[in-house]
Amino acid sequence: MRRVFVILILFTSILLPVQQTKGTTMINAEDYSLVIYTYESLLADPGYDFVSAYAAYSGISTDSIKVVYMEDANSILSKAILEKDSPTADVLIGLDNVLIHKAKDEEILENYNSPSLVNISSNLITNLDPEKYLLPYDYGIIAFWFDLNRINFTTNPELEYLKLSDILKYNLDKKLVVEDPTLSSPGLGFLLWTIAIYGDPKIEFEGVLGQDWRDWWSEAKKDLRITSSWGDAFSIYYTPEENRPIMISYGTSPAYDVCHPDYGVGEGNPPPSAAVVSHENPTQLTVIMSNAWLQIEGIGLVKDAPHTTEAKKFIDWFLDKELQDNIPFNNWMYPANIHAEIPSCFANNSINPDSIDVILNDILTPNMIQDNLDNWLDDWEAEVASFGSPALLLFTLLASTMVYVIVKKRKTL
Amino acid sequence: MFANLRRITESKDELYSKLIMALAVILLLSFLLAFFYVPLIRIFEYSFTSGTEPLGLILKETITNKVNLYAIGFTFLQAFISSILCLLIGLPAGYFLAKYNFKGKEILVNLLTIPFVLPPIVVLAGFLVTYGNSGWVNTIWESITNSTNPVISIFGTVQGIILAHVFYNLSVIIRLTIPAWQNVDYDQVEVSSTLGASKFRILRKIIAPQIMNSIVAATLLVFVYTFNSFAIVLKLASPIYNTIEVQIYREFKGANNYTGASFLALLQLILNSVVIILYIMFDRKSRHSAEGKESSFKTIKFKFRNQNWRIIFRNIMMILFIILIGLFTFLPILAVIIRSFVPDKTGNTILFGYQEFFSNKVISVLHANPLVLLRNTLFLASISTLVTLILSMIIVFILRNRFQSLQEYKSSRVDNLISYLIILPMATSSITLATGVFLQYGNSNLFNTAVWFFVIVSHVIISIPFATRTILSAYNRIDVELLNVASTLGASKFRNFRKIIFPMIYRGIIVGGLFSFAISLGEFGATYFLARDKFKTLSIGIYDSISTQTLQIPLAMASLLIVVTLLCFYGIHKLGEIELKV
Repeated sequence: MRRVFVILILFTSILLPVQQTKGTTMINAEDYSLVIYTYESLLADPGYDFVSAYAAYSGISTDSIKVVYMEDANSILSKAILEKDSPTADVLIGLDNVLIHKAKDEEILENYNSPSLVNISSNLITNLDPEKYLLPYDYGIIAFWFDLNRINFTTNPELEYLKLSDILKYNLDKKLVVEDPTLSSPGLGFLLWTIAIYGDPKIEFEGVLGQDWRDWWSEAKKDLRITSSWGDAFSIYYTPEENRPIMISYGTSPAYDVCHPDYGVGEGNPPPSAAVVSHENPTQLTVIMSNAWLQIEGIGLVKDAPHTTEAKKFIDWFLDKELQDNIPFNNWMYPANIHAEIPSCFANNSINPDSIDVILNDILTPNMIQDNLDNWLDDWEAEVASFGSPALLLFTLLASTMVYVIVKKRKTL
Repeated sequence: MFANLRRITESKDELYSKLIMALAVILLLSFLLAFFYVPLIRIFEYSFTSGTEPLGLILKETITNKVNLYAIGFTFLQAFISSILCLLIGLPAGYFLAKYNFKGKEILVNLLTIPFVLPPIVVLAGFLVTYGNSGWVNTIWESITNSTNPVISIFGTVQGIILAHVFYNLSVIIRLTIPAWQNVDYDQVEVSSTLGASKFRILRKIIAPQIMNSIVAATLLVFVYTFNSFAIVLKLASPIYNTIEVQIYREFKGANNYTGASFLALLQLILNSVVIILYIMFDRKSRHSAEGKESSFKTIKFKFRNQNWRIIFRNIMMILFIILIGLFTFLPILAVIIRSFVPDKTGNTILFGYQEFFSNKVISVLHANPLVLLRNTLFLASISTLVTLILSMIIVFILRNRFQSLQEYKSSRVDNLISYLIILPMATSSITLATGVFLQYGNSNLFNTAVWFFVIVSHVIISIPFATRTILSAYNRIDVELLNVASTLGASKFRNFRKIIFPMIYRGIIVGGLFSFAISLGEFGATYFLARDKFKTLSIGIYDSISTQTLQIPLAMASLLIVVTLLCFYGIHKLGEIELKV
């Protein structure tokens, strides 16, 4: 056995020097004064270098800050859970108002009453986590985002006061891309949106309409495209060959198309895209009310973090105006800090969550989500999963009998 | 005195060769043990020891869960239909390519193999442009028929998955049935024809029994490949249609249900093993029936002159058939390249994608500049090719030198066990492999610091069966007599190797190397699972940069991958043949 190890060590040592010359990153908490886990699109487009900004603010060098970019918020959570006995990370950025439950169950976070919270809207704090394990840094609503060149209020007047049932009624599901709620956070937001609107008789939850959310999905699933991530959904939305000009995104997405320095058309030009929410009312009401699901993203201190002091300092800075000013045009969400600047181009071309009549998170409360989320996701998977058509099954049976007969006959020859 | 000296040198020679052998065995065993068997055992462990809920309950939930049941059923269904369709198309094509000789036949057969190693992401992009709702095929169809309904819809449908699987695996059937057709004893055919047997009777009684084993073996192989399909199913139809492979990924990444995922992986491993063992049985039989037969097969030069109209008609149909197969194979590949030159945003030039790629500019969604991805990809592919070659050669030498002499006095049960342990890596899908590696090493320091190491390891394990097979078939062509003569004349083992074995197998080694290079270039599943966000390769870069508002950048990357793969195949074409069998 020792020989095996010697060989193994030899083997790895042959390869290791290559890695250093290649400049791949090493993550060893002791080598850094701050380690951050986040998702790769954080402040990335067109890009605000928050590492340098923080280094300049705190006086530590940029080399001593390590940011690990993960695929999405789910991966951050999985990684943090995996490491919870000996954490490498000090700060997690990007868990949201749904993932928080799992994070709290697994006890990977430490609550932190940051002094910067005085500038954060108290509504967001209550909706994300009143116990302050996770502190809100930005927020936005989930919305239908559509390409005005291919579909608009003239071609489809129903978009103006869209209801979820209109998606089915006007065959908009054939033009819609949604994300898989088990793998993507806007997708999950949309699932919760449908649950809050239609309700769930299984747990005697009325929702807005008092029906069953499963019915909507079972009717829509034939025509919807369901992708595993926002990026996948976008590529479908964006590619004319796909012919699906509507996707589940954020109320702020149209602002991207207008205000982005490289890709935007610029303010004053006709916007290339628009976003809408849904407009359901409880039966007796006649006024039209807009409903939307709010996603709140948070920053959290890791429990037993290697560098707690530096981490707290970073969190305070992250919630302060200097960074928060950069949220609209780089993370394309509304900043949580009430004093943060919201550029007019951004405000004019996005749906402000404060303008929504009914925030569905108030109906579908964090407690209900915590209790039912796993079941909902299971039910959703079962609702959309399909085995294949019976005709194909018949074909398979016939063909396999044929093969069996041939092989059997061949044996007896 | 001289005799004495001779004995000493001989024993020294013997000693060296034993030492080298022992080192080689240790190297191979430690590699497989550390990166394959231990992670696999880890999966076992995870599926049978669990956290809070009682074990039985979790297993019951996993097996009775409607989504998992559908996934298991659908995996069988699509694999079956895909392999039957591949067979129906590939068998006649194999016959044509076996029987007729024409200019460029060799290169055509090699070109038809390209899809087999194309990165799934590239294939998906090609499929989108070719068969998408507003893709080429549907646009042409709609303008011909004046209808607005697309003729084919590949997303979220069974036919999309099957189309992609046939695209991928057609070459497997074609390549494996060509030798089968060539090995048919045509003397018997002629005899029975003279004796008045009808064509159908000849087909049924003479030809079918001779090619049946090869056909079944090839079909089973396609079945295994389609059974373990990941990227295609994940992107085309998940979550409506899932294969077991995709379901493992979903349980693991989405639901964080490690126990359920491990259990599914175990189930998949067992099912795979059964099919692989069946495959090996039929493959052995087909080799037995081909052994010692003097081939009376003669290829016919393809020509039109001096034939009657029926033969000309048949020839035209055959050419059309081959052209259709060629179109089916090359259209998606061409589509990627052509579409990468089509500006899809005002202000973009034709070369926009390539300019961005080579501009050395960091693309923000990638957090890297694309040249780094290219470097990473080439680095991974070169190192894993090197390791693959070393290990495959060791396997070949063990199989041919040690193992054969052992077989003579060993019980068959041990023999079977050893064969199974060798087969096991082939029966392990890339996601299962990645799951095992992740569970075993995911928390280790090395994983955090150098995840590329584990990516290389998984690429090596994925490509070893192919490389081994290629080198083995070159090795088997060595004339044993020659070796014996050389030994008798006093050549040392090393000299034997240097002067006889190596010159005869080096082409095989290079071909095996190019093949594993191509596999590693495009590998998606394991890389995506293990290193999606830490160590990006071109495949993953393509996947990520699709959201940069232009298809030109990702398709430029895809075109580059295609070009490199084509170069590999050009090398293979110049040097010899690859073995698609495992």
